Amino acid sequence: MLLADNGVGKLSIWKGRQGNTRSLLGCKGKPVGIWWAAMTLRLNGDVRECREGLTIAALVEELGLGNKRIAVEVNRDIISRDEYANCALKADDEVEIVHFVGGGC
Amino acid sequence: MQGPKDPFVLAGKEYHSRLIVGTGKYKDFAETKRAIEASGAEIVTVAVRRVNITDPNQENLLDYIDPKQYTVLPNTAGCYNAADAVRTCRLAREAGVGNMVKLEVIGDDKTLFPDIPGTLEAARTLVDEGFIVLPYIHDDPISCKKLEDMGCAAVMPLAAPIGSGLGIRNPYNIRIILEHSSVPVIVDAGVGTASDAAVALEMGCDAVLMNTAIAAAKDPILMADAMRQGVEAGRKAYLAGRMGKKLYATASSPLDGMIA
Repeated sequence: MLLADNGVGKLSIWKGRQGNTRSLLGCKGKPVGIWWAAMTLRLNGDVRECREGLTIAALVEELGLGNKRIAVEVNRDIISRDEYANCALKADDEVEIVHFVGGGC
Repeated sequence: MQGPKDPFVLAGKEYHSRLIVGTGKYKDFAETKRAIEASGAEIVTVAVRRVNITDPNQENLLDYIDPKQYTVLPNTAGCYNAADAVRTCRLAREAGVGNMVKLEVIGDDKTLFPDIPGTLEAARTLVDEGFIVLPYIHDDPISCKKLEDMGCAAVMPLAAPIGSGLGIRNPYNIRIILEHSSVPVIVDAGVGTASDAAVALEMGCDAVLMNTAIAAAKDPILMADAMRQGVEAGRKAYLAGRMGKKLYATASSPLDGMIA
């Protein structure tokens, strides 16, 4: 269990047992002093920590991608936009979020 | 300016422009936008890539290229097997720009030539899943015919390797492809300058797709305009029907009324 010190910067800051601070996805906007259980997952190839039970909807919203043309895959399955709110991530999930960039051939 | 009299019909939709342009390799999105406007293109290709999670609020291409104004054509550039290409197309469709895709299954990173078995395999899956498939393929009439027969909406033979700017290296094969195709033939990749684009259209190709020829020009905006004119000139010349070639001269001034 980790203390989430929320509302600081784009991603929330939580304090680990040794007093180190790191960002924890999924705690933005939550009141200071709530205890969250953290888990790790792989987001676009990088290992990231987030709070347990984080939904795709909350993740996408926190990343500022709520109104962007993106597509989300969890463990190689595409998650449609209307499933975002009900799709809770689990530890070690592999999440891919893609969008369009400049390209030709 | 091409009028609606001579539309480019692709998958049941009419376009005025026969130039399809990519959106890669530009200095910035503002230049991309200006080049596309100068080209007159109505269909623009894009790539599908990971969002930068450490800075997700970076500017987005689609902030500059309005999908309501342009037909956005996602590509599978960088995919080296059918499975990756199909996965990319499914993601692109989910991201919400329609179901038309530019299929590329690349064989190796030096030539960027298409992998024919991989392209055929991916095309079959994508057609079955309801995609409108525009495959990048060799200037090979047999592969083009197979892709057409399995339901691709067009075939896109290369003029020359991607980004090479060599122009149409094998016009005879392109002619055979044109004779045998009943779907649009779009020359994709290898065009270097406006005359190359004109040649493709003069031969009877329905459209031409390019990126580097514009983006890597010293003045991309001016080159985009040149490409637009090259494509229009080539199409008009095709429709007009060129004169036959002759070995010897034929005078174009009358012989009657000569003073000597």
